[in-house]
Amino acid sequence: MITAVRTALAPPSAESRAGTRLDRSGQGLLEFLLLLPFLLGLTILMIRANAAIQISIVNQKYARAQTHFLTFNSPYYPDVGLNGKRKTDMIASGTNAITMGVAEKALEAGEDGDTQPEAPMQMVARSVAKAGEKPAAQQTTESSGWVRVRNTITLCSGSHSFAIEGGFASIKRISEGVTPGSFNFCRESFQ
Amino acid sequence: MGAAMRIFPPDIRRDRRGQSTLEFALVMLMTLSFTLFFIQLCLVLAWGNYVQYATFMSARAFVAGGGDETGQMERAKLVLGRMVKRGGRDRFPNIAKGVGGGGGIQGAEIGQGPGYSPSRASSWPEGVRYTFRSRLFSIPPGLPGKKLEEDANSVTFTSESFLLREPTYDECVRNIITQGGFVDNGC
Repeated sequence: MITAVRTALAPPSAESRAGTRLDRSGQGLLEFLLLLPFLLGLTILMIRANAAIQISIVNQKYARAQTHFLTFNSPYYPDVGLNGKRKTDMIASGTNAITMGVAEKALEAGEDGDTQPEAPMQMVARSVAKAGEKPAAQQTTESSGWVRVRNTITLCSGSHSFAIEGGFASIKRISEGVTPGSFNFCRESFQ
Repeated sequence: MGAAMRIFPPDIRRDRRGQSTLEFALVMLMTLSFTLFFIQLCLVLAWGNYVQYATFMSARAFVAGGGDETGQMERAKLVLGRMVKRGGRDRFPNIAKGVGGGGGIQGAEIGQGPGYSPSRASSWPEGVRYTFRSRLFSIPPGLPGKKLEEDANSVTFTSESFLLREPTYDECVRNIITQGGFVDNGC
């Protein structure tokens, strides 16, 4: 009994101290492991945010390339259009500019203007659960982990059409004897 | 293990002096590796964005008309070279090195891009491309003398900008002569 009491009162030996809360072995490793998820999260967020920026830059570049291509760097747009669109459509709608964007999905051949293209979306949150539900096309939300990368390029052209009563007419009609209101080329000043 | 127990007496085996130093060294190596990777990744991504702008500016120089096609290419080279090179060498070789290409600027391809053909539908890829390669991890360092292209610890990025090309004065004159016209000041 006395031996047992002496043993209990004696200061702990080096062996008994090992494995208690005073032991700091492995502390640095534990701290690193605690910090690691934060560092990984930060890295993933940076890569995703940069991906959204890159999508914007690259899509704008291709939209611009295709706009230049369709215009042939010319003030006169070619008659061959995109998705069945022709220069005559531009005249009918009084449009003297071409606007092009890059959509997430390609439009089916022959789809008309009623089809709404959807802008590409990039998740910038840590996970799909954190990002929340993906907003529907054309819908804006106050807070979301999804970035909708809208991009369009507009290039003005020479005039294809001019306004007439009740609509638009081709610029080719601006000539003597053709234009309504007896257009007299170079013989009278514009009012 | 048995041999170690025989070699070292029990007191030495239980001695924990230097343990925290060893742990610090190991954790420091991991932390430093990750921190350097993070910084390097930031620099590579920033450089990538800068190269996107550089190819666009170079393509703008290329698209403008001129005396002949060589002049257009030289202007594009001049713009790209000033932005991504310094004295003919990579501006920041520790971040990125131009690979492939040629014609005076390592990594650059100016003119007709991949998939180009004179047909109507495939004539749009004409402009400037720039390809560079970057090492992502600083630790472990690459083997001395090993080329960056052969290093598995590196990634390749390509930036391209196709704005097409205006016909040059020479081309305009040739076209007019082909069509039996007279060369005046119309080109």
